[in-house]
Amino acid sequence: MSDSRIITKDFEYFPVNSADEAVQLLSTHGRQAKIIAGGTDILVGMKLGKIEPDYLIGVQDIPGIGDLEETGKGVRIGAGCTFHQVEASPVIKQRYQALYEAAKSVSSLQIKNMGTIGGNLCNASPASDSAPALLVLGALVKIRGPGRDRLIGLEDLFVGPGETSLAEDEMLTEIQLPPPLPGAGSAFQKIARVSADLAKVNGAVFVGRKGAHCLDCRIALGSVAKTAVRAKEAESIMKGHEFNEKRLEAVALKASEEIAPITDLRSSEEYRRAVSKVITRRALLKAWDRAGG
Amino acid sequence: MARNEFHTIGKYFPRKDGRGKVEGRQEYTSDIVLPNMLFGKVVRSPYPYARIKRIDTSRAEALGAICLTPHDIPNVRYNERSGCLPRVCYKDRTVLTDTPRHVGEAVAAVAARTELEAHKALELVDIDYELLPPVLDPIAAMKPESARIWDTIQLGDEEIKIENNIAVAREIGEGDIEKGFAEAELVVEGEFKTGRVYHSQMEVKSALCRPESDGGITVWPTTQTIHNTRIILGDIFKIPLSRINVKRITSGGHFGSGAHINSIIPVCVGLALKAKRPVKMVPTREEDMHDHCKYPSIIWLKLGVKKDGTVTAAHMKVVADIGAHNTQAYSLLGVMAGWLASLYRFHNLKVEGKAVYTNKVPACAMQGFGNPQVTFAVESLVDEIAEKLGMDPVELRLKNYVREGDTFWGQGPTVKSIIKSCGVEEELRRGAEMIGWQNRPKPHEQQGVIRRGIGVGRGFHTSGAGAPRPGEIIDYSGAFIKVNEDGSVDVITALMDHGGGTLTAVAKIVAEELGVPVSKVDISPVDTRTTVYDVATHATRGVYAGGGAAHKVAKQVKRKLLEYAGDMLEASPDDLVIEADYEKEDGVIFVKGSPQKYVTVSEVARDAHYKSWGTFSSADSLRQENCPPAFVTYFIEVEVDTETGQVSVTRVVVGCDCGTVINPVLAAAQLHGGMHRGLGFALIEDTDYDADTGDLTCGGFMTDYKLLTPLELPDVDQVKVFFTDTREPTGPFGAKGIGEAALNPVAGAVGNALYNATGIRFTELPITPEKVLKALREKDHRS
Repeated sequence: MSDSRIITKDFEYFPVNSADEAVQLLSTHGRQAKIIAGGTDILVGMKLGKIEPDYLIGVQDIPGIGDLEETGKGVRIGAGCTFHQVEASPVIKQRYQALYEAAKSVSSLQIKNMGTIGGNLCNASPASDSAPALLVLGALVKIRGPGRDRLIGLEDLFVGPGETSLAEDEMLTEIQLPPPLPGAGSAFQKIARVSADLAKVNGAVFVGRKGAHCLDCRIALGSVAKTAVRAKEAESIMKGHEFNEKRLEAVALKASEEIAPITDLRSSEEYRRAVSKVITRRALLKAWDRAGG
Repeated sequence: MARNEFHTIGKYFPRKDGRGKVEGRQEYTSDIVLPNMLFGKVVRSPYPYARIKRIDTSRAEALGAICLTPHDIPNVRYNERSGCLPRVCYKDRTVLTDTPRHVGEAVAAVAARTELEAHKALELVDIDYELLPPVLDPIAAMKPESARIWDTIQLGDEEIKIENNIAVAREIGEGDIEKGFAEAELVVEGEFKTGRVYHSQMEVKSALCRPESDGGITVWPTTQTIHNTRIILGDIFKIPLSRINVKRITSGGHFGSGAHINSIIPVCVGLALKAKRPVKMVPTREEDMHDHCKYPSIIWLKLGVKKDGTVTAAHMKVVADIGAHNTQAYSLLGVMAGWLASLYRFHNLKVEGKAVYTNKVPACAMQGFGNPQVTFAVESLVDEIAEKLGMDPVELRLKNYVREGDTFWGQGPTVKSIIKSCGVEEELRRGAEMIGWQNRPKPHEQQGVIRRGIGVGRGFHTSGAGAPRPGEIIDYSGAFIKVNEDGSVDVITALMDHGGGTLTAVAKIVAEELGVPVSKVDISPVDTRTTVYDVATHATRGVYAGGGAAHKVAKQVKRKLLEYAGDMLEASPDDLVIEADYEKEDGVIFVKGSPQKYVTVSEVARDAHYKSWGTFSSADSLRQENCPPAFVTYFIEVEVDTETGQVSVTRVVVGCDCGTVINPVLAAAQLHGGMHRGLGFALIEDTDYDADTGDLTCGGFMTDYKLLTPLELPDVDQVKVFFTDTREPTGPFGAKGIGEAALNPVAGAVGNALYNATGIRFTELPITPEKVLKALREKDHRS
């Protein structure tokens, strides 16, 4: 039987002061090394013996890693920003509502104070709350590798449950959000067993609105496939068309058909599919309302 | 004595242990550190059913660990629960086993200098298992072709055979159900299932044991009963009770999980005796979740009723899935019959119960002990009857409830007493008014996504297991009280406080009787050596029985004080009274009607001390001869999201008859707590099993065993609590119990509220959103 109280395996801890230093350690130790930020996932995994790194690289002392700032081009969120920071940020709350709602919905206060948005993405849980919100908000992620940075769309980060496209010697350093356009709105919805829990299903939408027309539409759902996923067929039904009840119903239905949920101990496939439709619809209504308001 | 004459009862005083708990200074087992102490860990079976072929501890011992295997422990079978007569005590456990029957069962143990070392040693114990086919489903378990979990066990001193994995079968009846159903003009029936709830007590079951030089032991356990812990340890390790000292230490709650000795305590003793050093064991949460749970039950129930609403008969069949060990299944089946018999005046009833072994974590008592399960079934069917007869559910209940003058079954068929106080009518009438019962939604008539419903559920729990004649359950308490040389008072009782404030209530009862301010009365730290026997704080008996014993002894001490004071005041003790004077912070003794001439309790105590008269003290036991029910009624309002199946509880009114309220704030807190766990039982709490591994699907982690959080509960100001104007003549100052009664009716009220909202009768707990949505969709398809 596992022991959730102690980490029995010996490991070495390296607190680093720069991303380059972290990348160098990753290059040296490869799969034996793991980045640790808030530790809310990795320490649990280590206690349960699910991951057994020999080296932990602490990145929270890297200058700027925990900064959240407005830039001319939008918002830059350091990978080490905690969920509490994201939730407490006025700019996120006012202009990136889906992300605000997602951060707010994350687990408990203790986890929000420790867990980081970058860690959440790199953990690549299909049930991540930040992922659907960031997907619909058009997030880019900045990745530091040996001697170079690369910038990719968030969708290209996720490969499978717990799997990312990061190379062994790469680390996520920041998330970039484009500036919201006028007439845009977003929303996040989550259904969980209790409020402080992983999602049975979560979802976020982004709409661009002009009058009664939906110019842009992005829908992402979580906990219903191997990664957080965009429901692109559903999006295409809405995009460029009049936003009305009938279309809304069709979009929500399509979104629930596009996904591949499973039955696990949090919920059933049948339930997940059914409520995916509901939360898509509800999120769209909310975002639409916000876009107009 | 009129109630307004009480100086402490019914008034709020901060609890005695509150400050220590808030400041983090209260000591729990895990806090204690003794010189040369080792840390122990249990080696637990990863398989649901297996036989150990070989066990090799040499690699662990090479690390310096002390290892304990079944061979090191006296081969004694025991039942974790003492407290019943030997002839109904089913013994199937040993301290360690070479045939584990559930995932997590203790097969060996190790002790080392640190927890980390102990964990490393644990991983080096090599065990070869022969896997046996596990049985997880209780219905399948009873079939002849099923694998057998036990061939024989011990009943008292007798070896008995176990057939078809049925640990106990009982048939209990009263009247004639054939006649009763023949008289009925309407018969309703249903099958109800309840979940395998984990106690989720805040503190995991821990133990610390120090071997003593006289061959005895001192034990600091997490328990609801220090005396029964001592008795069982004496039985297993053959140590005279005078050399076993079990300390009372603050515990982080139990909910019934410590009503028996926990499996880890004898393991700890075994390790300490072998190591000849103190050993502490503090399991992880996942170990604890592999140790105990509530009795999940399948209940088939049939009720008969006349057109005017008079109930005529009840027939109930129960299958309780007890897991791998029989902790108190015999009692469980008995009390389940009693809970049915005591809800409504059926007169004709029959209960057929079977408790079935499965290869799962053993079930044991949990807040309500079979009562929440039975009450859920009965209250659901009673609502159905009301609908079919076109009667108001409240009126139907008022017509049939078991009331003052009726017989109450406090603990199965051998523990019955006549009800002498009852606030049910007040609960139902006042509660209905407070919730707006007359304006509740009409069933089947709601449209829209969110549907609202209001349901009623009522119930009770016994206060203790006392009856005019002793039954199969041991039930007595005791206390030792002394007035110190400065007039302060020590109360020495083995009673446990699970966090509900039981010991503060005892202090108040003693202060009330002695006529001294509560600040002058303190609860002494105790152990089994310094206290007279108290069975346990279980069965909602703490205040009624334990407090009753303290009250009895306080009267004896008061008599001695008054006799001495009589000499000082040159008056007859019979003419004297003691009144608490909160300005003087003392009790004042004077001739009734003449308060000008007085002595204080502290003056009396000092005088007796300086004159070498002695100490005003007394020790005695009390067996309560009644088991008065504490009645509780819930009115619960829910909102159902028909698109997601999510249920929110929006308003709750709860009426409670616990007799005289000792402490209104803590009593209300008991109701809030009972509501919380009752809603959890109704809506979310369960432990599923993985058919392939035979293990809990949640693995024992709270991550996947969900309790409702404050965010899922109604706003505090939407939970209205009221107490009825009742007084129990047999209880201390009119008090009865409250704890378990607070939970028992909740699931029934929730089920009835859901029916009111959706027109769907939910019979399987927990009622998850998945089940609600599925049922709503099926209903849509039908219509």
